[in-house]
Amino acid sequence: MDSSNHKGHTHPVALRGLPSRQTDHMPPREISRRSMLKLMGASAALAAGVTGCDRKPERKIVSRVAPPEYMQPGVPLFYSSTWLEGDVPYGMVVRTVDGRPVAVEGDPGHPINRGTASAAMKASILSLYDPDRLRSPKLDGKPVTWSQADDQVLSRLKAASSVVLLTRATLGPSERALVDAFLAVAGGKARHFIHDGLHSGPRGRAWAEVYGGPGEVVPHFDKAKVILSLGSDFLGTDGAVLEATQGFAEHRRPDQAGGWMSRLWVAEGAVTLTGMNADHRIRLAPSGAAAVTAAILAAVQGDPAGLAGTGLDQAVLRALVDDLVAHQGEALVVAGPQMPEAVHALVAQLNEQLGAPGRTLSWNPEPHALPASDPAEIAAALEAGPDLLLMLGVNPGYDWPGGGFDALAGKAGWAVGHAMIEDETLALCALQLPSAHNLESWNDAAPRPGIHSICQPVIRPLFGARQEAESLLRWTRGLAEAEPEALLGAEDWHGFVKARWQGGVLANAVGVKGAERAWEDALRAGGLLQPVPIQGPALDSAAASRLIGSPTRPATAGNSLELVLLPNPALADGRFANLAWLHELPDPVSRLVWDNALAIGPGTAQALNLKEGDRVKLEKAGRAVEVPVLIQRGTADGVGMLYLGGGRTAGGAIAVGVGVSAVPLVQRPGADLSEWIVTGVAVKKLSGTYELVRSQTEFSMHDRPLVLDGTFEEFSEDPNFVEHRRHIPEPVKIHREFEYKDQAHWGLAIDLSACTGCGACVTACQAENNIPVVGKEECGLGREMHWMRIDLYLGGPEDDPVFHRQPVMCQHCDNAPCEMVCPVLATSHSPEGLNEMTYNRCVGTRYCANNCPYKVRRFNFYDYPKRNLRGPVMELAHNPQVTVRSVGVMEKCTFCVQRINEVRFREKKEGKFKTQDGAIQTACQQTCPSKAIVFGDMNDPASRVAQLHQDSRAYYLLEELNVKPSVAYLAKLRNPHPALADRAAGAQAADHARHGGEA
Amino acid sequence: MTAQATTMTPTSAPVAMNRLEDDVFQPLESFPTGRWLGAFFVAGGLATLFLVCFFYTIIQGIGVWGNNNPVGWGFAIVNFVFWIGIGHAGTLISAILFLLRQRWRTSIARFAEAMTVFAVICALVFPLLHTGRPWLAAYWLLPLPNANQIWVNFRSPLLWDVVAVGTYGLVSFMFWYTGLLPDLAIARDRARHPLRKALYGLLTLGWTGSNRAWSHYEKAYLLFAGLSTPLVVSVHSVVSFDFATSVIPGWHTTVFPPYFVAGAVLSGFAMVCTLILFLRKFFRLEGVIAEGHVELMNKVIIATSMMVGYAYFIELFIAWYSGVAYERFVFLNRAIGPYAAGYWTMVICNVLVPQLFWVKKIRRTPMLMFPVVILVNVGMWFERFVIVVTSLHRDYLPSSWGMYRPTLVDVGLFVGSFGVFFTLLLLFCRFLPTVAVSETKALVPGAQSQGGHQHE
Repeated sequence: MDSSNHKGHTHPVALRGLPSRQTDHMPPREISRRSMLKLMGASAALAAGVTGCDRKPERKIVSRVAPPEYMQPGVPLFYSSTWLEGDVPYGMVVRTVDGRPVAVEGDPGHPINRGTASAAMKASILSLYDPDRLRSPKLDGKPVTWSQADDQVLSRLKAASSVVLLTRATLGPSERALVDAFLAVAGGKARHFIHDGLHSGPRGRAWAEVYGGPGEVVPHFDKAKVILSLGSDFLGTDGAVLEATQGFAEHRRPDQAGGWMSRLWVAEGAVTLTGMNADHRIRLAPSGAAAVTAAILAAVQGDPAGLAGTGLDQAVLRALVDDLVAHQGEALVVAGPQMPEAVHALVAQLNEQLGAPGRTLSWNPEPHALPASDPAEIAAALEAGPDLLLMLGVNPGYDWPGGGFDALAGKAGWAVGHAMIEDETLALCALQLPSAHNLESWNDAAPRPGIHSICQPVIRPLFGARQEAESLLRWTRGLAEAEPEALLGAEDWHGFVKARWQGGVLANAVGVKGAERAWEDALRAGGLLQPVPIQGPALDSAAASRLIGSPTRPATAGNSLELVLLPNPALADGRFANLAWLHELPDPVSRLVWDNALAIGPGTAQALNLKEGDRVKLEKAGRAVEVPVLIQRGTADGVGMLYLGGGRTAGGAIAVGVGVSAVPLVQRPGADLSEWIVTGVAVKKLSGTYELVRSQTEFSMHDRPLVLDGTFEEFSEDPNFVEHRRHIPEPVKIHREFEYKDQAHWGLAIDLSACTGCGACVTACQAENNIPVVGKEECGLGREMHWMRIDLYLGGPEDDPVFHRQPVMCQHCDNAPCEMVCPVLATSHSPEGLNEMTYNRCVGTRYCANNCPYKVRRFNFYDYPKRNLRGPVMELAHNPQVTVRSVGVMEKCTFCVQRINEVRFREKKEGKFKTQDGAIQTACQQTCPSKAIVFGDMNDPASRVAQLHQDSRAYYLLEELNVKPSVAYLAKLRNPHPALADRAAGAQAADHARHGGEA
Repeated sequence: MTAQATTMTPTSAPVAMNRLEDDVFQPLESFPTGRWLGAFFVAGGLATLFLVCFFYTIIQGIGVWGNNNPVGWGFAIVNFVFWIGIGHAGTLISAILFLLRQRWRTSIARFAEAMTVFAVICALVFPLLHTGRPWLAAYWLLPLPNANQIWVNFRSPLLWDVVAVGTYGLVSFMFWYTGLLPDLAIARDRARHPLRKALYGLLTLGWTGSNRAWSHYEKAYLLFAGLSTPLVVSVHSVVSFDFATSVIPGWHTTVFPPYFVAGAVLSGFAMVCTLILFLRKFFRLEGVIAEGHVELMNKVIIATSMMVGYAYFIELFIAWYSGVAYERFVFLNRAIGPYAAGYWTMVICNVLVPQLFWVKKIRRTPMLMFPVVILVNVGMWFERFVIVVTSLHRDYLPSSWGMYRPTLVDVGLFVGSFGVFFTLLLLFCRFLPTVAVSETKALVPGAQSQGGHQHE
């Protein structure tokens, strides 16, 4: 085959966009003549040109499915690995087609996330193919080779008398060992600090005090019957969210698990996803949390006198205390990492009092994330003017508390930055090194005792990138006079990880099966995943009392706010800011897209004379940010909330300029209530307005029967209570209706009681189905392309809303109004009940979208996929099994028809003509952290989906239209405290009264 | 009926037949006046704007319009229904009134027919352009046999639309053209320049004026009139099915077919009236198109205005009476929602303003009736806007509600479509006889035999 193949002419999908020598300025050393010949040979061997893309890692990796791992063109191969981009490692399965990763899925065998995934995890594939990635090492802005870069670093390292090494908090065991080896070799002249946008903060410090040691509390939401969260967004951003969501959701559907239902109490200032899921939500400014917790603790201990002093609703507090006391050993109290130390100490005492340790919470002595260094210490080390500053995978240039890291970095003699994209930190560095992506890296993690996760690369690093650990390993070896023993004689980083495993966790297995085999087995499974039971923490009461001190509430001045800074549910601390999918994923609380705004309650807004879209200046201690205002019902009075992670000034074309950075207001420990809770923030209204775009603009249900719900009590008395609220139509037949005899009839069931509304499914769908992003402006016009969305309705009183969520995708109606009206038959009914879209045939009349009562159809108003492409490499992130749509055609949810067909073709070849229930999973179902979505064959009475359609809680959305949807919703159950049940009913009545007049 | 109609026929001004012919053919045979050139310049400019917006839309995609989710249809469909409605009066005047022997129609029939043809041209551009891929829609919407054996969907009202509007356009054109034949022959006979003579000669399809030709002509004309008549009712009924057969509250309404037809007649007559007022003035045809003619049209306007008013009322009543929350909401939202201004414009312009025509003086005075018919035109455009947009922007799921804001391209296409219409109309005035001379001659006193018998 001639060389033109390598420019991608004959095989556009496989090759185009892969950086080639000619187009991407790859240093010549990286593609040798030998590997070039290998590539050509592979192409020639597959004469039909089926694949020309061979970027399998140079090291041996082992596929998840049975060997041999020779690729079959077009047939996906799966590899187990570990997702390490967040603050908690999750097991992932990477789907590769023809040697390129195309999707990240949750690993069902991983004990923490158990097959689920988060939005950021799904978006990982997008960052792999990010065209903004650094293309080669750069010295003073000029491309250099890796050996030149290493020489530079080594000569400086050798000459330096003081070195500062800055890493992120989440280091795996091997990385920690490597850092130790480096520090040992450097012999005292190097100091290691940890800096991270997400870290355990005051909670970590408090736990270290009261439980002794740098561990973490692991809450068991699946075991707790009563949960009290003090500002902990455990369903959204706090800790192992995927584990917590699954555990929590398990007991939100009492008919399917155990017969009991947990009750969630949330006391928080800002509205979080967790607060939205609460049975009772108490609006509480974080500054008051310590006093309230102390009062609750006292009341639980038998002295309810303090409750009156809290200024909160006494009935609610008394019910809460009764509930906690009544569930001794089954209650769990958690507090958000933002909360000041005193709150965590009080929570520890409260948990101790309730008998939680060992039952609903345990102690993990070695968490995945190390505690962050005190910024004051780092600053001092930098002020001293080190000769060399090494920054590996950190971005203090952006997220240094309070900002202004550039001045500190300037003190260092020479700075090296190692990152995927030229971000704010790299801009401060003389030497910029491109980091490899998670999917290109070897790594490991041991987040819990007994859980040893391996991260294996599924593609050779693109753009000549190299892992940070690989660099550090080379530098360690280069710095040492003799081969350091700590490096275990490993040739490179892969060898180091492997040697550590074979000498460590695999030591027992090695004897039996041989070292190589044991390693391969571990790779295949994604590690050694056998969690061992862990004990509850032992409370040091004296330390706790010391930490509590006497909680006082800081005085508040007029025109000032108490500001809560929370990680962005999608972007975290801004590390995912270059991923367009995550910007376009509506915020689970406000539905805001592509922005960051100060969320305040309507009362506060009135007091400060602000409306949505006004611009304000928030100032504290001379540092200020200017932000637009967003009115968020349910925010506590006097509290404002701003997400971290916005307002990047470098770090990729997508990241820059979206939203506002909250970093200037992040505090150093001890400076305020906590790093992320800032009191007495002055609010000044600025002139002009700013357009905020929410993906949804109407939040009232208008008294329509859309999200049906009831209380657990109601359900216990009459499991068929939903039946009375349904509007089941008289069967009227005008057209011949479809029958599904002797074949599958695909359907979906969504449990609204389990769904938390996190939105991971939306991004999963986007990744699976090549759904383009449209940007803020188009979102503002109502043209977002998401095939599924989470509808959010707010009921109840203005300041204390009740939240209703409902994932909505194409309902695949049997009497589909869209099919009827398409003049060219571009949308039609499959024999198995799918409502199919034939993109080729669509001329784009949009009649189908108009006639869809669910408004789930999406139209390509522009050539969005083309607009999305910022470089040909991005095309590789597309799922090769799904067509990329062109301008002027309609599209919508297909029930992941490509997945249906993939499984069924495979099974038919094996002679099975009836698909096994559960073998086909839609992307949303697979990802759903609460396992709320079930797909299957409704014609198979034994299937889960058929049973769920028969469930007493099942109903269909807008079923009175007789469109016969194939998606069943299971009514939401709430579990209000019996003493407060009247209140819940009252709220509902108020809601009806509010909107009764409109309908 | 015939007798009554004859008595109602206003007596034409006592002009000699030759004078009539000279009057009508004068614009064809002289250099364009400054006024014509000025008007043509303005109309042509707007037509150019239309073309620019047209190609910009095709190159960029529908995104340059204000359409979105949930409002999939916007100005394009509003304009389509509006222009189709305009066309209606032409057919009604020429065909139905012809069959009913309403002889007063003769003076305005030609003009009305031309207006129909041009309005249908303007109308047809919109549904084609509003598709995402017009280059395919142009022929995929037609039931053409093809190698893929893919057929069109006969259940789709859009397909009915294609058939109904297509038929209507073709029949209207042939009806108009057939009627033109004898007059084209006059133009040919009057022509002095050989090229001019040849061209008109070509267009006359060999008209000789023989008795045989006349007799065939009259049969054909009658046939086309007969064919056109059901189309007046069917076209707008079918157009209304686009909405009425859907499941969207505010669209799913059984009153739509008659309501749309009445509305179409109302808007069509208003448009004819508007144009006629200009035509009379500019081409000094007051003698041919008398005030009595216009007054009769105004009577039709008031009648259809009340029918439309009844439809507005009955929609509201049924929404309330049905007890369906979605239905009630849509109508309430029309009246007090964000597009309430459009709704009340519609009600005031279409129902209240035409009531002025109870006053005879207003019915008969061009200066007084002009604002009324203009307002009816405005009102009828808003009626279509209210139907299309307010039903879509807030339907079943409040989560999906949105707003529709037209863009400059939308406005450009709408305004530009008037440019196209008037450009065609001005060219028509320049090159074709605007009044059916041969028919009108029959009305000239002394031309008829006693008892009112003449060609029909």
